[in-house]
Amino acid sequence: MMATLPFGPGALTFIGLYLLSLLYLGWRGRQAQQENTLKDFYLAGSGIGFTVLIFTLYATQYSGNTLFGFTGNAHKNGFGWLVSVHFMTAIIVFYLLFAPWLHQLAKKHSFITPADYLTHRFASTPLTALASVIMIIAAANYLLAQLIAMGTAVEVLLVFDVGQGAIPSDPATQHTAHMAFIIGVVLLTIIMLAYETLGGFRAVAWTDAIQGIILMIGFVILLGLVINRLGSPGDAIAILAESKDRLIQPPDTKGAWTWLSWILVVGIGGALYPQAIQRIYAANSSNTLRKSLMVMAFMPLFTTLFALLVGVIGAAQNYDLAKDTYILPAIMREIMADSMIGYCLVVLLAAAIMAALMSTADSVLLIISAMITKDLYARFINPDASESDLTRLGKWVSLVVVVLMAGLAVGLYHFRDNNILITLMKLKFEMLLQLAPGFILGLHWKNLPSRAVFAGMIVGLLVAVGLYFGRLAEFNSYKLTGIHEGVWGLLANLVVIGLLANNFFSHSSNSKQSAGPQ
Amino acid sequence: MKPRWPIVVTYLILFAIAIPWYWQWFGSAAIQPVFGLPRWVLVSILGSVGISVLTAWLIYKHWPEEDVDP
Repeated sequence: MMATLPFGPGALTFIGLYLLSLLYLGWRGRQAQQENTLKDFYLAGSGIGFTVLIFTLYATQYSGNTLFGFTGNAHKNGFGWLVSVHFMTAIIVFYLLFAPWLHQLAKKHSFITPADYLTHRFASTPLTALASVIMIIAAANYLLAQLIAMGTAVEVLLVFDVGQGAIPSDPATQHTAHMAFIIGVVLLTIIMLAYETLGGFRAVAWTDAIQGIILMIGFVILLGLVINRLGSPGDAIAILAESKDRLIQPPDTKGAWTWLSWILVVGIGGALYPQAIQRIYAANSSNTLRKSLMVMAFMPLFTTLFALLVGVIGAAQNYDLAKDTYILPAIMREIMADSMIGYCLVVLLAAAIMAALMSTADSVLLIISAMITKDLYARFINPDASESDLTRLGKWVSLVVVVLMAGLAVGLYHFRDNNILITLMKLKFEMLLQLAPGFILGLHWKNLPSRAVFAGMIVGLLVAVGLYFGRLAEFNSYKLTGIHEGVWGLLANLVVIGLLANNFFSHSSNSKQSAGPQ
Repeated sequence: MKPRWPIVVTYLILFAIAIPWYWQWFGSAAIQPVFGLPRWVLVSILGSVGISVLTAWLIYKHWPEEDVDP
């Protein structure tokens, strides 16, 4: 028998109005457009103030994965997933190594994409091209993951069955689930593309503000509801101590190394997300960026930690779930069946889940469009293109990319749980980590030569990606050592830079020419 | 930029507290509940709070304004 849909007309109207408000903001963003230039479209003229910046940073950094993935991981690993609080905090710590200076340079030289900085600093076409390709692949990978998550979110919100701990396997429900997935991907993608094409970065940042507020409220409501319905973390720990002791135990030595590795991988990789760098450029002043990062330093304690506690409390409930990521919909179903207030709050939470997914996906889509248009087309194919032509092209690029990715997301529906696909989709931080020397060392090491950074990046990529693909074969270095492949790659990257940079200094006649910006 | 070593060392200490590598030597004391959380979890969270406070203080007090453009 087909599962009953949980949301009534009132709930669907609320979610519909919320989605329409995003389109309205897109239209307002178009009205606020000051000029038909890349800087206006992709950075809102670098005029983003504190309130919008803090919410766009927040909504972009905390994705649907924080809600579904992090609660699922906590359900599976218990307090071992506390590392998520540390690696999200580490992102802000690593920002301190480059964001203040990068912002100044971006203002001074009107940077639009992350590659603009690399071009300014190293004046090396191969280096800029390789970095652009790495960032586009990583961002496209991330976008695809967000689109699949959008469809999955709509699917589980609508047809998940708590009793079975899964989506019922009867053909009618399976068909509804498939349709819900497709509608989720297509509908949310169309709305996202519409407001983004209308208002560019301005629309994305303004909708992020709404989405960020809903997301923040969502996290607070979620923890409050869970404690009210299922008991406090203390109650959960008492139960887990009896039944699942390993979920409350500290990690062993190898586990502690893995914590350190997580902190480095997500801390550095998350800070170097191209959409994160775009926000550093977009702040209207150094003071705005400064205040926003001060607030962001505390957000993991109110976001990631909340998700962890929800997952741990859920683990004590002994749900029989087909997947750990079903813990959130399982809890939501219980709460909404409990009372009218619970139902209303879960509807708000459903909007928060969509907000989390869309706010991350729209930012990633916009930066992919910027990088393809400016870093590839304008730099290598048509350097004489006018700003208005490039802006128009950028909108077409967004359309093509999102149609391609949404098509892939829908086409991969039956392969979502395939190990190869999951492994491929997780491959982004390993690559992004190899950009760290170019951005961080490049800012502080004035004589750092471009060829050392380029060679380091190639070696780092080969090591990281090579080891990573070992996961698909017998050789899984991550499982063997507890250290992520990207960290090994970064170590190799730094060794190559150290060797080449020192060697380079012995030929001092050439060094000045290649080292600084041209 | 010259590294400020006292700050670097403080970060290293805070991360060393936050990463629970040392609790394996504390036996069952590690998981005894304190304020409703296992002791090691509470200490690790406090380490994270320390990192957030230090980071916010650094941003507030020592936000760099010097030009890096050569």
